[in-house]
Amino acid sequence: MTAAVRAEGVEFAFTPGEPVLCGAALEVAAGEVVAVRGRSGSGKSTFLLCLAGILAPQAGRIEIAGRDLTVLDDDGRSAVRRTSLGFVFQFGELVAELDLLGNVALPLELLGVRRSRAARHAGALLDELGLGPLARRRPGEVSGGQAQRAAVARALVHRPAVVLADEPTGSLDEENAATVLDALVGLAVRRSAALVLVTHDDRVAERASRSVTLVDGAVTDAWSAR
Amino acid sequence: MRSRPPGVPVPTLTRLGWRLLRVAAHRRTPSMVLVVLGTAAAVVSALVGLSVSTVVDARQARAEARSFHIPDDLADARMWVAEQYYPWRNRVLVRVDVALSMDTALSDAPPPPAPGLPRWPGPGEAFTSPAYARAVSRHPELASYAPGTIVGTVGPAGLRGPDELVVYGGVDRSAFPHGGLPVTGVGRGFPPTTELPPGIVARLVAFFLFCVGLPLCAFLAVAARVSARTRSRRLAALRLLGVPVRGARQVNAVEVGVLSAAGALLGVLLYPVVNVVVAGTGALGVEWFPADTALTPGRAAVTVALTVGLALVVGAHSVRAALLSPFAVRREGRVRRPSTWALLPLAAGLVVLAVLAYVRHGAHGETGAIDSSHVLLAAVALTGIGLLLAAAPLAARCGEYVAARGPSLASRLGAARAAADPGGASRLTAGVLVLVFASGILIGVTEVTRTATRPQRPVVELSVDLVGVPARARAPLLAIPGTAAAVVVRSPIRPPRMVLVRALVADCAGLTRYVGAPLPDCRPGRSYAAGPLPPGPTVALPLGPHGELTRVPVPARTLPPDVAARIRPIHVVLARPAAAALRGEYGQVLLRTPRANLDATMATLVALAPYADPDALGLNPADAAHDRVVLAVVRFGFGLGALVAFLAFAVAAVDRAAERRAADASLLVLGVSSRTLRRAQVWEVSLVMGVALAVAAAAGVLGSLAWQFTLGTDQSADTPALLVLCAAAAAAVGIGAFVAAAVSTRSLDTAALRRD
Repeated sequence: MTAAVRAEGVEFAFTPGEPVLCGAALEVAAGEVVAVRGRSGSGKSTFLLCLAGILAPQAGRIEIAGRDLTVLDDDGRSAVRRTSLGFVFQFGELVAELDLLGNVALPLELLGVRRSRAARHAGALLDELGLGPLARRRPGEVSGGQAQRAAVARALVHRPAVVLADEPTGSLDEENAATVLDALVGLAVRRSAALVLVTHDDRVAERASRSVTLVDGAVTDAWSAR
Repeated sequence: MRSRPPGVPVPTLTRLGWRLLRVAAHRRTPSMVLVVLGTAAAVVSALVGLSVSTVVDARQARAEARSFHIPDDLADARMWVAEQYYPWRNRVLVRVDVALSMDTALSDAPPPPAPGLPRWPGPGEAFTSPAYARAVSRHPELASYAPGTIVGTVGPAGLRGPDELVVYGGVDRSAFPHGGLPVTGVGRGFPPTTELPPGIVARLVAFFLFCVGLPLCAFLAVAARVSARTRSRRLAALRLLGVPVRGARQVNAVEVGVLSAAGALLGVLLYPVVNVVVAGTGALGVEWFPADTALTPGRAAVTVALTVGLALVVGAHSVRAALLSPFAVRREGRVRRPSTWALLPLAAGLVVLAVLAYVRHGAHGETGAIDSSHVLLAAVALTGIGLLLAAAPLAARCGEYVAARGPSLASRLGAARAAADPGGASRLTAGVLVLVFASGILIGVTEVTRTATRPQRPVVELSVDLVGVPARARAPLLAIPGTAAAVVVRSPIRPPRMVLVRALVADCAGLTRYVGAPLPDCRPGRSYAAGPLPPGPTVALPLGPHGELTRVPVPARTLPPDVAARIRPIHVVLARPAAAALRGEYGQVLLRTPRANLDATMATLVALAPYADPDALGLNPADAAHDRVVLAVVRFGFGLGALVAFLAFAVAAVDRAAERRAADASLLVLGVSSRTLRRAQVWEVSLVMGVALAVAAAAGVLGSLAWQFTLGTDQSADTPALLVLCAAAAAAVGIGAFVAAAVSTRSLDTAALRRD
C-alpha cells in the first residue's frame, strides 16, 4: 500500500549550525491518524511545515500522496498543498474577510470548481458539522470552537489525501475541543485521509491510532495507542 | 521532461482578490476612501508637474508668434513699432505702439495683424487685453498706459496668458522719439525674452517634484501599509491553502491595482476641473489658458499606468514577507530598532544649511568662489530626505526615554508604543515633516522674489533718460505730483581726460526736497562739490541754451559727507533751475517718490513720456514676470504637497487606530480605562509629532535663511513668517493629538479580542 505521507531523514535548520530537525522520519497510511508529540521547541510545528512543503528541508525526502516535495519548486509544492493537503491550525487561520461558507468553499474554488458548486459542497459540509445556520457569519462573529470546526471543514472539503493539524484544539475548552476533535478525526477517517496531529495534549493523542515523539529534532519512538 | 503543475486559474484569483477587496473596503471604508483620494491627488500632482514645461512653452510660443520681423533692408519696412515693457505692481504691462506707413495703410493688402487682433490699430485707437480692462476698472490710473480710444480686445492668441496686460496702440510715426523700429510684420521674428530659461524650468520642475514628491513618498509608504497586517495574514492563509507565490501576488495585485486604478482614474477625471479652476482663478499669482495644460490621452494613459505600476510594486513589496514565509506571519515579528545612522543625512543637511546661512549673511547676493546655489539645492534635498529618514529613530529614542521616565501611566504607555512602532510613527509624521520644511523654503523663495520684483526702500528713485523723452514732455516731468525731481547731466568722456563728471541740477527748494535735507547756505547759482573732481578750474557740462557744453567753475564749497552720501555718485551739485538742464540729450531726470506713490508716478510718467523707459532699483519687468511664474508653480506644488501630506497623515491615523483595536481591547480587559488609553494615544502622537516637527521647523527656518541669504539681496529675515511657521508646526502637533484622541478606542470591542 502506498503511504500517504512518507518522510525520511528530514533535516532542517533556520540558522546554520542550529538544527531543528535531524533526520526526522515518518510514514502515515491513508485513513491513519498519527499524533506527533514533543516538548515545546522540539520541532513539531517545523516538521509539520516541512511535510506541508512550506519549509524546504536541507536534507531528506518527503512524499505526499506519492509526490516528492523535495524535488518540486514552490509552484509544485503549492499545487500539492492545493490538491492533496488540508490544514488545521491552533487559531484556524480562516480568512477574516470571508464568511464561513466562503472560507470552506475556497479550496474548491482554487481547484477551479465553479463558485456555486463549491458553495453547495461547502454548505453541505458545514451542515454536517452543525454550522449551517452560521454559514454567512465571518470568523470574528462566531465562537472559537465554531471557527475551528469551520477550519476543519475547510481542511477536508476538497477531499485531500493528507490533513495536517497543528494543535487544533490548543485554544479551546474541553467541550469544544472534543467537538472539534470528533469532527476532525471522524471526517478524516470517513474520507480516508491520513491525519497528522501535532499536539502535546494526551487526550488528543489518545484519539490517534499511532503516536510518535520528537526529541531533539528526531523521531525517537513510536507506539500504538490502540 | 517535468510537467508544470496546474496553477490556480487566473479568473479564480481575480475574483477572489475582488471579493476580498470588497469586504475589506466595506470594513475599512475611511482608509480605502483616503487611499483613493490620495492617489487621485498624486495623479493630479504628477500631471501638473508634467504640465509646467508645457505651459511655459505655450506662453513662449504665443509671445514668439506676435514678435516683429525686422527687415534686412529698411526699404522693406511696412510699419514702425515701439515695444515697451512697463512694470506695474508685480506685473508687466506690454504696450506696443504701431505706426503703419502711408503706403501700407492705403494698400489693399496690409501686413496681417498680430495674433489676437482683428486689424492693426489706426492712430488714436487701441486694442487692450481683457486683463487690462479688468485692471483699469479697479485701478483707474492704469488708463494712462493705453494711448487713444479703446476699440477692441486682444484675443487669447495674442496673449501669453489670460492675465497678461497688453495694449496695442496706433500712433503717428512722429510720436516715436527716433522714428520707431522698422518691421515688415509679425510672426517668428526677433525672439522675445524667455519668461523662464530652460535651466530655470528644469529647476522649477525639480522643486515642484520635491514639494510634491516627498509627501507622495510618505503617502505611498502609508498607503502600502494600510491594513498590512490583516492583508498579510489573509495572503499567508491563501499560501497555506496552496496558492503559489505568483497566485498570491495576483490576488494582492487585484486589491492594490483596483484601489490605485480607482484613484488614478479619479485623478484623471479631477485634473481638468482642477486645471480650469486653478488656471483661471489667479489664486497662484499667474493665470494660464486651460487649453495649454489640457490633458492628452497619451499623458493620461502614461500617468495612470505609472501610478498603478508604482502602487503594484510598493504593494507587492509590503506583503513580500507574507508571501515568501507565510508561517512567519502567524507569529508577530520583532520590530527592528532603527539605526542612529539614519540621522546622519539630516544632520549633514542642517549643518550645510547653517553654514550657508552664516557665511552668506552679509554677502548681499555676491557670488563667492563656488556657486553656492548648487550647494544650497543639494543641502535642501539632503535635509528633506534626511527628515524622512530621521523620523523613525527620533521617535524610537524619544519614546524609549519617556517610556522610562514618564510621569504617568498614559505617558509611559504612549511613549512605549512610539518606541515599539517607530515605522508607524515615521509614516504618521513623514508628510507633515516635509511640508513644514518646504514651508520654510517657500518663505525664503518668497522673500527672494519679493526683494527682486518690488523696490524695498521707502523712497524709490526713478531715473528717466532724456533721450527717450520728447522736448515738450521734459518740463512736466519735473512737476509730477508727489515727487522730488532733479536733473543729472554728465560731462563728455573725451581723451586724454577719460573722466566722467556728474552734476545734479535743481533750485534750492528742489534740492532740499530731493536730498531730503537742506543744503548749507544754499542760494541760486551756488555750487557744491559732492565727490572727487578732476584737476582744473572748470568742468564741461551740457548746460548751454541748446544743450551744448559750457564750462562751469569747480565749486569751492563741499557738501557735508552725510548729505553727499544721499546723492552718490554725484560729483557736483548746481543750485539753478532744473529746467535749464533739460535741453541736452544725455541727461537724466531723477524722481524720488514714496513707495506708496510709485504706481501713480509711473502712470503719470508713462502718460507724459511713453518711451522713456524709466529705471529703478527693484523695477525689473523681466524678473517680475519670471518670478511670478516661479512663485505660481512653487505655490501650486506646495498646495498639492500639503494636500497629499494631509491625506498621508489621515490615512496613517485612521489605519493606526484600526490596527490598534486588538491591543486596546486587551488593555481595557486588563482594567486600563478608556480615558488612560486616550491620553496614551495623545501622548504618543504628541511625542512623535512634537519632536519631529520641532526638528522640521528648525530645518525650515535654517532653510529659509540659507535660501534668502544665498539667492537674495535682502539680509533681514522675514521673522513674522518664520514665527507663523513655528506656530503652524505647533498647531499641527495639536491637531494630530486631537485626531488621535478622536479616533482612540472608547469601549471594549470583544470581537477585537479574538484573533482573526
